[in-house]
Amino acid sequence: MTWELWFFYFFTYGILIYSVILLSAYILIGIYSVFENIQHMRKHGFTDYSMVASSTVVPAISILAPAYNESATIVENVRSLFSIYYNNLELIVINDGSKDDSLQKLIDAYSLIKVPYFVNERVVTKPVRGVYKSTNAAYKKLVVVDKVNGGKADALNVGLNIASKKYVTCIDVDCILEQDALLRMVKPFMLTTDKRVIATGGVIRVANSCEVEGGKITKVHVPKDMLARIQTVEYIRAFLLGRMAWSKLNGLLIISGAFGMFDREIALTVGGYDTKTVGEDMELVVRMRLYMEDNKLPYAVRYISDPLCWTEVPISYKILWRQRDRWTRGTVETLWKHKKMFFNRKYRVLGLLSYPYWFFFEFLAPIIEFTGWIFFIVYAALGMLEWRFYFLLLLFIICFGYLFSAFSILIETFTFRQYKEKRDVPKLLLAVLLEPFIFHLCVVGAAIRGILKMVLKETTGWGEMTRGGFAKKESTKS
Amino acid sequence: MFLLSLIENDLQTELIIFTVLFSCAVCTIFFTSYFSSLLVQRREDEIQRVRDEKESLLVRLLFEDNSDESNDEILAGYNEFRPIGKGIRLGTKKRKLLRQMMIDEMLKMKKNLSGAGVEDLYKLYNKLGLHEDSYKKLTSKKYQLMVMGIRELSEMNFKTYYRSIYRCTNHAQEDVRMEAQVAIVRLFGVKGLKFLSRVTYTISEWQQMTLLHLLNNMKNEKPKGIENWFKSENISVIIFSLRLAEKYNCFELLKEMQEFLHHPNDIVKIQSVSCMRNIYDENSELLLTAYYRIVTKPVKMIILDVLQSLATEQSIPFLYQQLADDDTEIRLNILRVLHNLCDDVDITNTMTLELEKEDSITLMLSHIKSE
Repeated sequence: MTWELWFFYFFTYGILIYSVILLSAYILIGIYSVFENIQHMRKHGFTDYSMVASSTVVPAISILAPAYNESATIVENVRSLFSIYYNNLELIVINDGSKDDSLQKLIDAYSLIKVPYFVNERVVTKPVRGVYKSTNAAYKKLVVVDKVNGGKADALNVGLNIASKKYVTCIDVDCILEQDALLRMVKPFMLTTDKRVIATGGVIRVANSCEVEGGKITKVHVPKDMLARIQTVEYIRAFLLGRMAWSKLNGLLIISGAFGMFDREIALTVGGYDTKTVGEDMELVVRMRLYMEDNKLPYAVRYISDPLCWTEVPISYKILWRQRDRWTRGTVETLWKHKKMFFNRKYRVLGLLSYPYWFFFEFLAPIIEFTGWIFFIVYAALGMLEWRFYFLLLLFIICFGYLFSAFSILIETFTFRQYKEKRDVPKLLLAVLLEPFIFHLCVVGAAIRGILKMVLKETTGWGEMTRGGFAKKESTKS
Repeated sequence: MFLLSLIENDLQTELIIFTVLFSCAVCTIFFTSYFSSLLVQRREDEIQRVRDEKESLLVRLLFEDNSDESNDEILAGYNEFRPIGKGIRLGTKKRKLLRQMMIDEMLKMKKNLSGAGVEDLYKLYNKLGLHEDSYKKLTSKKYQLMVMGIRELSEMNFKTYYRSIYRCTNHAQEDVRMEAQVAIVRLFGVKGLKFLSRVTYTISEWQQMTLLHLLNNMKNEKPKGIENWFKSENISVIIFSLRLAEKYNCFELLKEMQEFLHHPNDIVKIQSVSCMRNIYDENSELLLTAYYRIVTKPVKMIILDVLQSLATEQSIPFLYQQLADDDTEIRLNILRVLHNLCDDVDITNTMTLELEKEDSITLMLSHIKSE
């Protein structure tokens, strides 16, 4: 047998074996997640959050909301954060050197004045230009920080330095939180007695096309835009059939940057967010975990499976491409930075399960898929392709994708049931059918672009996310 | 080559079978998802209809004419509230479900009622024998049902089964235990706290917060036996007792509380210091400043916090001395105490500090003044 043929068989069956292992991992994690979700619902379904929501004995929380060039929506977004039903909190909005009039709008809307403020710089950041507080007692919880532009991670670090409460919640300023979201997030910190909970994360849901009133989601709709609809399926699948299992195994490596709560002391002790990575949310969680593991301190990172936070997702391929490119770079940078964990028994679940899973199935998956397409074209051009075999392999993988996505919708129907209209499920199922041909190719392309950027050491920042904004949503139900 | 082609042929056959199976599975799950959503929706609509019906029944029973005769007349049309017997054609499962819905509606309505309305609701719960349903749940082996039963009985102020509930206050299952503790306090107020004498499991911060919140809404009666709970081997009981002592201003326990400054557990120390915000004597200030030097940073922070309201001029030299601390947060808190004591803190007293610290202290002072 010639080397070409050997290579051909190695490549063909290699992809098949990789796919089978990957899909098996998905199935195992999915099943485990479903059981854990049901357990979670049973366990926490009894909690009467309204009973303690108005309590004065709830723990203090600082909300950190970084903003950059959000002039169009900033005032409404901050107003929406004020509507959160929680007694003991401070709201820190960090204007990360916006080029627009975001700061002036905040000053005008909330009667802010510059106050002398001592910032305890436990994490070194770009300079703070000023700290503003309101003269109106109704906004006494609000602290607005104006700083030199340094990126999201740097803005969050300023927030960590300024925050005075024990727990910090980092959120995207345009997110819409459920009324009891903070209570649900803080509960694991207070409920766990045998270990220290260092971070909690919640489910992020897609807010496109939803009806918003007074900073609250009043009616949930399936997005009208197909790209947003496919991302809705993707979010349901990822959160419902993935994260819960990792949380239960205490192997969760990521808390979504859009909404996460952290033990401020630990976050500061490990040095805050890394400003050199675009995946600062994942990197911080990994670093906090490593700190606890290295110091042999019992700890946990918890995940709450109830839908807590709603956010707009990109509706243009250009912005989606940039977002996914950034996510991939963030993942690769974090994995590279903490490569010592790879199959390292010292780090237990983290080193033996979480890291390898992320390496093989999150980082390598787009590379292997992309390589597969290249070889497919080359072999087809050389006339070496077994068309029947490849057709079946492709069908097998696509069918599995359909099965998995539809299963997540089925589980959503029986658990949280956010989409209640008669035509919602068919709409989502249609999105499932289209996902491999529209969305998936874009995601793989963006991931490859992200990896290439890293290899070529191209640096790009955060990019900008064009959003409809709450105000627009209220009037048009966009 | 032969072997490889054999494998390949076999694999292709398997792939065909798998693909057909997968296609069928995909179609099945697509249809299942769709029809399940329809079924779930229909079920939810039906449940909502029954709930609305139960709500209006409750309104009629409670507010129209709640005399016994009138209520009996209204209830005659509802088989689920009549004893099982001849002529009642209602399956046990359906009866159970309908009665559960009535309980759910009662719990919901209770939140919007007060005074005599709540009393009428309790009477109705009793009269309809719904407590038996709740008790059945309490004696179930499924913890979720036990929690439901305990909650229903306590929310409806039904004290007959309190022994069974009390037994659950040290139940191995966390949710049952927590619900039982809340229920006992809901039923008996501060007297219900006697479960603290027997509880061996840790009382989480969440649970302590829930209990304190519940006690906040009850009449201000001092709990008895705090001094005994101070001797508990369960650290969380000590911490919770200290919180109770602080909440109920138990001055008579001041000495015992101060002794906890020697406790090896930092959280106990913190809680003990925190109590001194409200409960203190002329020695407390001296005691806190004496202990300050030998405790960890979190305890130091709480001591400084308490000193903001407790410190007198006699602590000023001590505080100036502590300004040399390398920790910025501690320095900021010391300055807060000093600012409370003297209108204008004299920076010249800190001349021994390095220049950098002086700079930061000036900034801190402006910050504190603007607070």
